[in-house]
Amino acid sequence: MNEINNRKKYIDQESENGEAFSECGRGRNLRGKAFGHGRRFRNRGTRFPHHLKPGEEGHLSDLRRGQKCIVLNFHNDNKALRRRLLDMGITKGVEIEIKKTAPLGDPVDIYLRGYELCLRKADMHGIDIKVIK
Amino acid sequence: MKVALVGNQNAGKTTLFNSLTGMNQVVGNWPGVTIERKEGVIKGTNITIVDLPGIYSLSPYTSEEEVSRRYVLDEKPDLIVNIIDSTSLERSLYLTTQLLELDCNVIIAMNMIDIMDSKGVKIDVKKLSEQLKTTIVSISALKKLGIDELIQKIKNNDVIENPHQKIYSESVEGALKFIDDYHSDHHLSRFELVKVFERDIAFQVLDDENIRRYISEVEEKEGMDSEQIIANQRYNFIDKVRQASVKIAKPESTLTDKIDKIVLNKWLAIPIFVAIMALVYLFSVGLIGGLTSDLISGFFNGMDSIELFDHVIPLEFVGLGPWLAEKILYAGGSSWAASLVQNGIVTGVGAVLTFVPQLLALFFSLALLETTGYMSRISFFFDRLFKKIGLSGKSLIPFIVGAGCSVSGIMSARTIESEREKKMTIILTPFIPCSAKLPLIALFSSAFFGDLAWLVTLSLYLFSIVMIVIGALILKKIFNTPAATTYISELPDYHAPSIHYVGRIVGDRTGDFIKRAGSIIFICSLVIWFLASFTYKMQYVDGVNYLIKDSLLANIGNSLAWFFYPMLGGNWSWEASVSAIQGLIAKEQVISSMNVIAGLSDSSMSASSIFATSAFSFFTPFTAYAYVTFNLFSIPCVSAISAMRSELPSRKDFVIAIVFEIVIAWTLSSFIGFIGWAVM
Repeated sequence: MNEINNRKKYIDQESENGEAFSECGRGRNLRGKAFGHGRRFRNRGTRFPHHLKPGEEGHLSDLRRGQKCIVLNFHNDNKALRRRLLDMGITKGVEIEIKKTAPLGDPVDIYLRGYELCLRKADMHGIDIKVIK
Repeated sequence: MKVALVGNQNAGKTTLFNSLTGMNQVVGNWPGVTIERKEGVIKGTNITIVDLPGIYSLSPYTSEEEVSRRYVLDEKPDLIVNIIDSTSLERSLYLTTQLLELDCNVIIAMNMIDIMDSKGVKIDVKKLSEQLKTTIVSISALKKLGIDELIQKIKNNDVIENPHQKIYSESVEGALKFIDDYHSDHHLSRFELVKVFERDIAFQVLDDENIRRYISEVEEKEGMDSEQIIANQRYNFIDKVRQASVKIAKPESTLTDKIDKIVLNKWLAIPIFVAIMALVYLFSVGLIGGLTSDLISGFFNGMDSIELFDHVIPLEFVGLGPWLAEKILYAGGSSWAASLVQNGIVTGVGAVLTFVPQLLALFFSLALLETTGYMSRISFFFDRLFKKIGLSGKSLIPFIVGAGCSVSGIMSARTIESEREKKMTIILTPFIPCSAKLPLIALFSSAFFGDLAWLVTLSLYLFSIVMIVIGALILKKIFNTPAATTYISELPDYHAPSIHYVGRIVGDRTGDFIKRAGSIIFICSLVIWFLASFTYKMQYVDGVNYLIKDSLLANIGNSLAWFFYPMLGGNWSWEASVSAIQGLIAKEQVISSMNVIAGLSDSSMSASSIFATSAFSFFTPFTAYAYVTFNLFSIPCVSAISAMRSELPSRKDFVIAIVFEIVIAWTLSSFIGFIGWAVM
């Protein structure tokens, strides 16, 4: 639990810095220019040593292919996007399965309510979930 | 009577529309094919059917969805036919719950019943109808099942009267009643009540202190905000409906999943994409073009032999143009009349018609990609790359559609959610060589690169992709607005392309091309012939007293030639300049004009190539590539320009677009021209 909170704190800090989530995890040099690898590589690093196991909580974007989860809550600043996600059936308590991942790791194809939907990881980040598989 | 067709994207609205009206609107297998509303009449009745862009809810997200919402809410159709995809029922019914709140009767057309079984879905239609309290007709728009029943129901208005079922929890229903009573002076539809409850900005006028307080109380009770409450409870209702009437045996792994495993594989995806695109151009430009273009241009201008797979086959034919000219002279016509027919009309129009078989092949290949469902995959796996350069994965659809025609490409950019991504996509779409640019590319590459023509053609397409990336990075700086971008899409199931639809798409597009050759190109060829055949004192250019360099056209060209001087490797050519300018009218017109000028300037023109004539003999492979580059990236034809104007949000954006495209085209082509200059 503690580790998840740390992770959330880290991400929240990054988003406060005005950085798009997809780029957080990049280093910055003195002039503030990004260097180093993007998020794709960072996930394999030491900061997130394992992927989420059943019973743990996290963000929808943390899951890997084949995993299933239940939606707990939203935290999303973009009102229009929030509305659209609700319209598409991503509501509290709905079950979501990660179906396919694009060859470059993003976007992701998810399965819910009997149909499939493609979303970007940055948008999935705003959805809190609990892993069930 | 007006009937609106409403439903999710890719649910088959346009296919149903075509079945109902017998019209021929274009359908595809990706979300968002229809971007404007279209009207048609059911045969033998006065019932108007309106086909609308697909929507997921009555809260629009993109501009083409706004069209649908406006129509349904403002223009109040007499009846709504809600087409739903029986294979993804739950999401489809979400929109249904909203439509049923309007003051309007709804018929549900449950589509795709033919593939329901293979997906393991069993629906008890009677129970579903009881639950939703509305009329349901099972149909298959594609297989034309149940269409007659649907028409009968519409005609006889045989519809269950909309009872406005109460589907929400007691506290929400209480709030809705409170709002209704509060505004008892005028009637509000249930839909409007819900919108007020959701605090929708569009319905703020109906808001009030007391109402807001009431809503807050309900929110506290339910433990979430009003928007979430409504969405949740709609889906709870749908869950209940589904449990009572639907059985889904989820199949283990569908064929679509298996294909996707290969096509969307980490390592194979890009090679497969490149291979498919290479195959498209190898097939259309390389194979079909190589086989037919000599033969057709020989038919118009005369030939003595043709080359087929490295074999020279003697085949003598005098040519339509020379033959007609001879007949005119024989009948006592003047030499300029013969020249008008031979060098003006036949050469000008023939130059364009030569490329019909290649375009047929190209349109056919693109139509296959469109109807099978591969298009959505391309946008899915390119999204990450495109996001990096400020575009959306959905930009890829305008680009691929733009390979047919920039106008339809620019229009299909409407499905992109973010304003900036949409603007950039619109500006960059003309960079993709449209079908009218293909003749130009094919002509130059086969003349200067021989057997490698298809490879050079492909290289120009790859070049245009590179330029889209660079252009996007520049535009990102110009527009410099931090954009909250999203990508929400679906991967439709693969299905075998329907020969019927592919045939129709190919027929329509090829027909358009030929029609342009018969109208715009025909008239322009006449004008160009006239300008090239007379001096400003109206003396006929006969090649003895007056030469073509004295003609009106040469004067116009000379005043423009400075602009093209660098890209032509330091050659002052009014001929090439005046031809390139005509690309504004239509891109095919460039080669049409070159052919007319070549024919007039060199009467001994060999049928094989215009580059043997004195007018265009200066072209080298470098300057040829530069000239094609300019025509590729410069501003598109007038119809595409006006499409850009209407799709871009402001005049400023439009000016930026035009200047941007001219600067890019000129700089690039001049650079290539300079290299050629230095090397030679």
